[in-house]
Amino acid sequence: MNSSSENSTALEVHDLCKSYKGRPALRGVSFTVSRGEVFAIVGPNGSGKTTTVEILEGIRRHDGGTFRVLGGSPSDLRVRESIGVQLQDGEVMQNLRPLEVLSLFRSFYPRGLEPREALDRVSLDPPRRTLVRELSGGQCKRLLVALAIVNDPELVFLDEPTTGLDPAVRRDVWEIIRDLRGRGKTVVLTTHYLEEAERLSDRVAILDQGEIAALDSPAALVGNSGLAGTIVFTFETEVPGLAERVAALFPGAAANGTGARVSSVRIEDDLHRIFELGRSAGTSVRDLAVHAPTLEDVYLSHTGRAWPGEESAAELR
Amino acid sequence: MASGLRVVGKITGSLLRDEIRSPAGMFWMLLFPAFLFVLFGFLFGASEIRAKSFRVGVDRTLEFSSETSASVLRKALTASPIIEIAWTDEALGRRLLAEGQLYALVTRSAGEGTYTVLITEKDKPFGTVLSSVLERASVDSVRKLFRGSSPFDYRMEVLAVDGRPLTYLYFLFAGTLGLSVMLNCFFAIPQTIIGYRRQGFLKRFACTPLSRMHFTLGLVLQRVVIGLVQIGLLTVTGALVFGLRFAAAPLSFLPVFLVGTAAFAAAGFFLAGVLSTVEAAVAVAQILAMLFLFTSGLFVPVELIPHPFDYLAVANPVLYFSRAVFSSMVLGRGPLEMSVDLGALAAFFGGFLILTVITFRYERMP
Repeated sequence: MNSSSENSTALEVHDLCKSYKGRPALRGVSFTVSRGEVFAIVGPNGSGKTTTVEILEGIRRHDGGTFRVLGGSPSDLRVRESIGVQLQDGEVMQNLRPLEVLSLFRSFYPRGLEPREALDRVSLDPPRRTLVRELSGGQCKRLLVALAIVNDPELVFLDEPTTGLDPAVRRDVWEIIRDLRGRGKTVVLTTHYLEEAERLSDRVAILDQGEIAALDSPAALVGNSGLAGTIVFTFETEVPGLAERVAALFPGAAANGTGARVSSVRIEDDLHRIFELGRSAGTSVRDLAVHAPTLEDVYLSHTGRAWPGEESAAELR
Repeated sequence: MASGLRVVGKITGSLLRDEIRSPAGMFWMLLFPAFLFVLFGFLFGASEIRAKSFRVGVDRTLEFSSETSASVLRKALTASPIIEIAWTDEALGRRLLAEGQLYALVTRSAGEGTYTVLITEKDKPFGTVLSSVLERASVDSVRKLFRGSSPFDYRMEVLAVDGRPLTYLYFLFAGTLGLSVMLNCFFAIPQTIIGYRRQGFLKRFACTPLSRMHFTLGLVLQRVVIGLVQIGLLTVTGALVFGLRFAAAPLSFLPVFLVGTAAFAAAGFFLAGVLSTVEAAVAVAQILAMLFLFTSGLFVPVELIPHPFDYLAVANPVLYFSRAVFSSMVLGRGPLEMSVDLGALAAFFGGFLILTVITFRYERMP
């Protein structure tokens, strides 16, 4: 790689492998991230998202493959000073105040933001004497993001920054990420919210069982998926064995007692099949909607499995 | 990288704030030892002391004397578990006494069966102990006198004009200080490290440019600061509540404190290395702490500890630490005179340090 491309590349990952007790967690993951890019790694729980970013952060060993972070190794002092990290399961001293925590972490770096400015950037303004343990879940996440940017890093790793947050707070965190992009920072974001990846990222890597199933911009992923849309329908009455009957017609579709969600390549043909299915079961379609395809449909088309969704992910967690 | 010392200071300050704002931590670290001290002080403070070992010089001519009184004296001193006899001539004995290498010197007086006990001003409290031993010898001799033996008598030349009797309170003070420093390191370090490890704080710390040594130093420094506060609190409590007077200023035992803290801290790091949950750390530390306390001489004199627990006393750092505290603060001994206790603590430090180097990891990097 020449020096100009090296300068424009924040992350370069080649054939990364990792196993836990013989069970493969990453099977040859490769990607590059350009400087200033927001790069999302999406996948259900256990797909290898956190393993990937923690290897890149230098806090987890890898078994095979190579990678460079900002042109070096994460163990290099220069690299450590230039990256910001928000861990999925990281907490800080519970009896300190947010400003005190930020001031502590700021002291670890030769340059960075004033602690107050870091708080302002994440719109966190708790009462002055509030301790970390008294913050709400959303405030805690914001504080962790503030810690990740207090050294004004070139590259920020955000590992599931919105998990467990209510939709309004999630959108606030999205604004923080957009602000980082606006400041020219490179952001590597992991999430199991496909909508989040779709809205925030320049490119998305869909990770499935330790392998990258698809990697491109959200628009390109959807556009190249060959999907025409998603059909969501409900029958008037419960249909015995509906899940099996839907699966036979539409592999990978998600069904419950009276309805299903189907990714469609040809909308018109599939609508006919759905109405026919209703007639053969002695019922009729009560509700029906056709949506433009999303990353969820892309995941389905690449893996043959329905996206586990937020609830399933929460259960898995 | 930012200035190392400044960062260590920041870490120490943050750790202190984190602990100070935890009511439970404050209670166990500072108030509990002081509470124990006051409670036991009021309950048993006036009791006679049960010291460990005091070196007493005795006129060399008495070692093999066939006089009954000499025999009684030898027997009384030898039988005492707290007295160690050093046979000497009077001139050398006086010099050793002046140099602080002896607690007392027993010499012959003019009349047969009459002895003089010399003690220095600073060891006047010990005179009380020795008197009780010699009183018993005197009573024994009177009994023998009725059977035709020679009398036994002694007079004590106490050069001290100021001082108080050495009561159990002084031993309680030293023991409680030992307990405090042990709790401060042995309990708190594993709980802190394991707690932070489980919270993910140490993992987060590992993503920064700092080395783990910064955190280690910050943590040890935090324990040192809390230990110094404990010393101050107990010393002030002893002086104000019980009127204790110390032969030396509290900080004169700084070398003892630092060596003891190092030994207990190394033990704490070792526990943090081999245990993975806070619950396990608390349970193991409690069991060991109970054994250490029981065999420390704080509640039961070491000489009376039943077998086989007496073996534990030998391997008990709290015993050596408390004894060194007593020697330095109560008796005003210098480091050389506490070489056995300091050496034992240093050996504990070295042993635990080796075990810690082998077993300790802040995070098991997956």
